[in-house]
Amino acid sequence: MSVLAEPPRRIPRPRGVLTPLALLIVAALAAFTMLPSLIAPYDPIALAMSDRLKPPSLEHLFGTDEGGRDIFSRVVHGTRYSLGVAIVIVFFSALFGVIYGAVSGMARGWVDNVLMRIVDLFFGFPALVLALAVAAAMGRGLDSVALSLAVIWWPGYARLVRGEVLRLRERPHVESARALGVSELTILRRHIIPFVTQEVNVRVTTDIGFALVAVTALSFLGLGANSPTPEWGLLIRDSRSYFGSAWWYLVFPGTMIMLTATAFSIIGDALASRRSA
Amino acid sequence: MVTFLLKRLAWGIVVLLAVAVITFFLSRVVPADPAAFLAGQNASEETVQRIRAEHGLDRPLAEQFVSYMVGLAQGDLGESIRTRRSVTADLAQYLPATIELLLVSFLLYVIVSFTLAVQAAKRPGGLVDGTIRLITMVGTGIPVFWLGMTLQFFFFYKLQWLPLGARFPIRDTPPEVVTGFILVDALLMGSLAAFFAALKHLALPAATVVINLLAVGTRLSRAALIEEQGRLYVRTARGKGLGPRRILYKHMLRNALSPILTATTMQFGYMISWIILVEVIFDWPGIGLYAYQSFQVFDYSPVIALALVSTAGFVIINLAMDVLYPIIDPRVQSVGQ
Amino acid sequence: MILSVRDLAVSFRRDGQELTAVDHISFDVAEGETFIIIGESGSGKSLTGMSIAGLQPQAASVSGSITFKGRELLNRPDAELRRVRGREVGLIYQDPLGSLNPVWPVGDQIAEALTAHGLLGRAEAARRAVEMLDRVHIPDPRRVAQAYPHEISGGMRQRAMIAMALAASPSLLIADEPTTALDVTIKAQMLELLSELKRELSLTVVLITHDMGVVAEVADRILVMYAGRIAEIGDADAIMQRPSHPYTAALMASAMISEARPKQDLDAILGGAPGLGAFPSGCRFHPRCARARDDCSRVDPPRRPWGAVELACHHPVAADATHPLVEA
Repeated sequence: MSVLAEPPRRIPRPRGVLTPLALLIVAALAAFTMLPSLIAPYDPIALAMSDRLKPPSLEHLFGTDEGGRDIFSRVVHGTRYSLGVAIVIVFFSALFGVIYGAVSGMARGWVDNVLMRIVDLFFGFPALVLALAVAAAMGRGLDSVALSLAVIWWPGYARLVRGEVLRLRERPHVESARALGVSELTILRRHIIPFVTQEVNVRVTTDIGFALVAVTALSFLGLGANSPTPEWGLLIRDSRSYFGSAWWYLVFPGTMIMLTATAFSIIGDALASRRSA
Repeated sequence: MVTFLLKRLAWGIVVLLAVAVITFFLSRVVPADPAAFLAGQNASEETVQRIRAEHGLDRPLAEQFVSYMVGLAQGDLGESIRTRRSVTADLAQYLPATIELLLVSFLLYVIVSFTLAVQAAKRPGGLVDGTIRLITMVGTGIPVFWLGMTLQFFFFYKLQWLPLGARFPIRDTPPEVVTGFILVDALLMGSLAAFFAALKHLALPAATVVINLLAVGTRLSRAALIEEQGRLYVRTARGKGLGPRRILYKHMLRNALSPILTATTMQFGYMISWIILVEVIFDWPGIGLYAYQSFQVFDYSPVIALALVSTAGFVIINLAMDVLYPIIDPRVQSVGQ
Repeated sequence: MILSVRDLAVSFRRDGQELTAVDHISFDVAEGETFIIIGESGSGKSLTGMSIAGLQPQAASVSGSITFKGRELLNRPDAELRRVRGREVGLIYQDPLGSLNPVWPVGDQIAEALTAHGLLGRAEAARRAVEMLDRVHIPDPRRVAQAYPHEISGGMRQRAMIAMALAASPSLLIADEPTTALDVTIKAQMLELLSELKRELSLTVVLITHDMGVVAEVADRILVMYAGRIAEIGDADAIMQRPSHPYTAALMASAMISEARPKQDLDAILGGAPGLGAFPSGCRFHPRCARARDDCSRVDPPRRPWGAVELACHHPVAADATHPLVEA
């Protein structure tokens, strides 16, 4: 008891109900993505002008938009676009970043130096603004949104993985494996990749939420999907002209984004607290 | 120390050059036909030809790059097709609005996140801490543009407390432009009414930016404060008979400041990005709205200017932090030497 | 008695269990004496010392009674304790670098001990800080007052800590392992300085240490703590000449060995001390004790007078024992 100052206490996370709830949301989203037509009661595209801007009811859970389309159906069908693109972005940037970071960390020396300088560059400017510029230059479309965000997203993974690789290779049992003549590739496979994977999984999970917000933001600015694609950011963009009178048009798509992003960040938190050292 | 700062300055220039190269690449190579892009969608073949010659797009790429860089160095950011003015002149007009919003948001962010962090750090794991944690976590998940519109819905449509957008009531004459910062200009004019009118217009845009960033900011400040609470010098301060307030403000705050500043720098990048969205939603006549309106009509130079200017801002912030660190923490200085 | 501790218990809750780190101990400190609390890490000695000033960790719950100059200090509101801390009770700690605020000049931190209690104004306090630095024999005190903690040597930092603790002229000084982080020569200087200041300022000193060498130099009375309890307490000379508790004897033996082989410590001789929550039954020292018999593991030895001292042991070292660790 020589150090008497308060040790930083372990903070109990409000995990109890939140994690199962988050998993439930993600399960629902998965269903929305795979089988939208089974869940959505209406066609997300076809116009029904007689049902224009109807408030939420049992018939139209989330109300209808200016074309009389069921907003719930549009949101369900939109999952594939918004969340789908977010997942694609995170998956490919993680893939590229992990390889990049692993090469950098395993190579060390000047290769590492050069590679990491390039990564540092990406942390030197406001990345989302750059993504916006790239997307604008490439023209409207979800593909240009995906590419532009992936371009700014991978350096985070490169930095994370390289740091982990450097940390792990210094571990005594890895050093001794190397001394015994185990090849670098085997070391990478046995002693490094399993641990790095844990870290990357946590990051990927949380990032999906952030990527979703970024995708919908660019869509909102008119850089993503074209009407009448039921992409969530675009729904909110379209609702701008009506939301003073049709609150549901604004509320439901936005709530979906919020719920989805929060669910992924809660699961990421849970994964983070469960990983081994 | 000086060498360290010079190194950082050099790095800042490298970053700016990199962005210049990227933007050149974006404007000249990515669009299949930049001239057609510049001319707009419905331009005739003649117009496209004329623009190609005008912008030197018929010259070799390397030559174009050199003249692009020379132009940049002289502050030439090209011309806006939409406003038919030089982008530099447009920026001079719109930039103050953005900076004003940025500064006010930043101030609000610092005050609120720090206050919350102090409350949360008092009893880690307690009720207040948990509540703040939950609120801020949900805050992060809210898309900025949606939050802005939701706030508009409540405070404008429902409560009618705050204006829908813009910097100043449309019907009133705004204060004469001296600094471009409307709050300052209102005070220079001696009109408190104008000052408060402008403040009212600032409220929602600033709140929108801040709410989203609060979670990360509060979490990091809280962690920094809790970490400091465990330090031995805090016990010494208590041993001297100091009260908790004095220990917090005179002892812990300055020690916690370095990690908080680092986090804040990172947040600045997001803040700049969110400002663009907020400007679009609240019709805030800054460079974000300017760039947005431009790329809606395929006018691309303003977007490049936006990327360059915000990078420059980010680089400057980073440099400012590098200067601040050794002032805040004397140990940094001796490490630098 | 300037300080009276009665039935002091400090405990922590961990995993739903109440763990008692300081187990109902009582002792008195007379005005003007140097009272030493000695024990290994985990014995509860620092916790005892810090509890006197109300500086135990927030997670700890403390019971019993601590009276200082007739006033109760235990579980009093913080605002009340603040008037005592720094003003009437000065504290120095084992890690002077960590215990000084890294971003403040040393002189300001000393002056704060005075301004915080409203004893002096800013300028006066700053002058007094330099005086105090001079008082603890810091060369060039004016320069050191303006230096940051990381810019001065470890010995100087501890001197500055002493200057800070004594700036408001308290009557009691609690020193928690003040020499642990220092090397041998500086340690000796520090003890000399403490004795000198004690004499000149008529201080009462409670010194907490694990180092028997320190005891020999300065102690008037000694309290030997083991696993949260008092093993032996009494006059320093009496104990030093003839340790009665096997644990005290072991401590002294280890001090002798340490002198010959500086890196050795008690752990190497006797194995590690039990950690919090792992205290053995009966006499807590019995697993490491060469004199232990059956009753030691079963019956908790009560504290009782034994010659000139008091101790808690069923089978104290006999007066004529040739080797303290061997059965008489």
